[in-house]
Amino acid sequence: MSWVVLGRTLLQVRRTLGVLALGVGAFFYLGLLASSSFTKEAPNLPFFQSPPKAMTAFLGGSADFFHANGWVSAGMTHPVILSLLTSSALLVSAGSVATEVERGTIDLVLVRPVGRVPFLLAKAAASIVAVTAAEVGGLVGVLIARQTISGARELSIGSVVRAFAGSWLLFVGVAMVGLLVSARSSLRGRAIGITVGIVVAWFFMNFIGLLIDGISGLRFASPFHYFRPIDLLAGTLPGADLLVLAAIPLVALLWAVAEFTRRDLTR
Amino acid sequence: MTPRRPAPARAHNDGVGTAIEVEGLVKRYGRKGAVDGVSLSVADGEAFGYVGPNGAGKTTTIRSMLGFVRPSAGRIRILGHDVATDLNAVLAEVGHLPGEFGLWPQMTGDECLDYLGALQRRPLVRRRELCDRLELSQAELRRQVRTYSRGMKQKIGIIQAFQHEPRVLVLDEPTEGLDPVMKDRFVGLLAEHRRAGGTVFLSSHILSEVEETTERVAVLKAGHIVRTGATADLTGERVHHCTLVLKQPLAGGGLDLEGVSELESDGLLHRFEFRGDMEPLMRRLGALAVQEFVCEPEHLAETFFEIYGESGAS
Repeated sequence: MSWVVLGRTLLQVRRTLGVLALGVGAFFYLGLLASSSFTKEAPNLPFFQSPPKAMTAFLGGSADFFHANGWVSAGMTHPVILSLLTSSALLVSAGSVATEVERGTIDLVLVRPVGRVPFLLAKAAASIVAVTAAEVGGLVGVLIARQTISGARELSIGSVVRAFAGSWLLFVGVAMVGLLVSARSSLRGRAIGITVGIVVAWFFMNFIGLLIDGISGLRFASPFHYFRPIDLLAGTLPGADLLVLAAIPLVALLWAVAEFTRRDLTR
Repeated sequence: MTPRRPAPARAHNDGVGTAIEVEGLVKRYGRKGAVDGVSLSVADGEAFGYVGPNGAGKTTTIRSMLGFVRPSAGRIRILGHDVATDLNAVLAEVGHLPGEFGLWPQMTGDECLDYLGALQRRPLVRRRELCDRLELSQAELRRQVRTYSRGMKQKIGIIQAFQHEPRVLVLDEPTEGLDPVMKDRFVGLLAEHRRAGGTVFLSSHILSEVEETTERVAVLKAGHIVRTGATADLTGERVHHCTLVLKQPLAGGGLDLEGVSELESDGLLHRFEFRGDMEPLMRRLGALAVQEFVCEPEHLAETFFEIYGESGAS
């Protein structure tokens, strides 16, 4: 891995990454603050006691509005959080090769004794750092909420860390898929568009699979199926699901390396 | 005025080694052939020009030499290292200025040069001197490159190619965007590189620049090399446009010499084209009462068009 490329890449995205991490943390804190009001008012409302199937599917398969684990789980599958974490995953990865090719800077970098694989591994490492920073931002937001919001005190730190680790695996997978798309592309916009399209398709495959019984098998094709925060928080997520989440980034990275080392770098 | 850099002593400029060797290079993109059977050799310490019209395959050849594109067939060796198997060893000794390159817009000129220097992993012995000679001030180097003009970006490009004292320079349209003063300084830098024993591979559509800075030249057309030779030989081969004014009328058969063609006479004024060895012509002129004789060689550009036209016709 090229440490010079890693350092320079992180330096370039440090401000954006800081804002994303802060945003994820703030959203989780505010989400928990808002959700804590359910314990006072919502139990009497049938909608929250037995939410519609579409609502449950949209929240990834579970909708528990009365316990802190449910609030964290809903936060982790909320579109705002998914967007922020996807942005952090693609901040480096989707542009890692495509932007440099499009801009013509790769001609200056790879004409030096850097090597394509160390270059790509540095971009992969920077992408992982970006996802980690955003997840840590979220974790810090939840931990602050746990200390300051009465309803959130029931959260176990170990459960929360486990849930964020699962989320980290999912979004490192998104980042590595972005890296793969970028490694094959010469246009930044196209690389970002394709990767966002893939993530949205994954989300809706899981959603539709949960919503419509006849095509429920579709959800197994989506990485979101293997990321169930409520199960992670409860410690009941099967190890096989975590293995699937771990395999996605690994396979995508190896594929990206294979693609990048054999492609022609032309605009 | 910036002092000229003393030429570092290098043992490799003995004139016997081969710096760049391309054998049977073929590159196809799908069904379209970009380069088809290019073979060339550049001696260690030589300046080699590579000319051809747009789309002829110049940039593809260069990108193959530097590992950016994988040849469909053929072999490339630079300083004895095979590009396919030992690319990093090649790149450690090369300085490259691409024809179209970009810089990181949010970085300063200094940061760009630092970053590229750190990737080269060699001391940037010429950085300061090059900035001075190309008139890039410290204040300019501290500005983000997004505020740079085309010429300033080109200067950064030149500095990054030269700053680590590479043995081989591979340059693609190097003076694009430079003003005439900076072009002249760039030619000076190339000459110094040569004197220090370095090799130059120069691709340019500015043929006067190729003529001025290279010893040998290859003309590329549609992926094929249609002519290779010493720049001086190409000059010798090509047409000289001659104008002769005599004091007395020419006797019969006066200019009936090998190499003379297109003779047009108007009284004492004679215009003709001449190819080949000039000695017989000069001897003949010595026997005539010459009032004025002007003989201008065609420039490489004209030869280029001539070669290109011949090749196109065939």
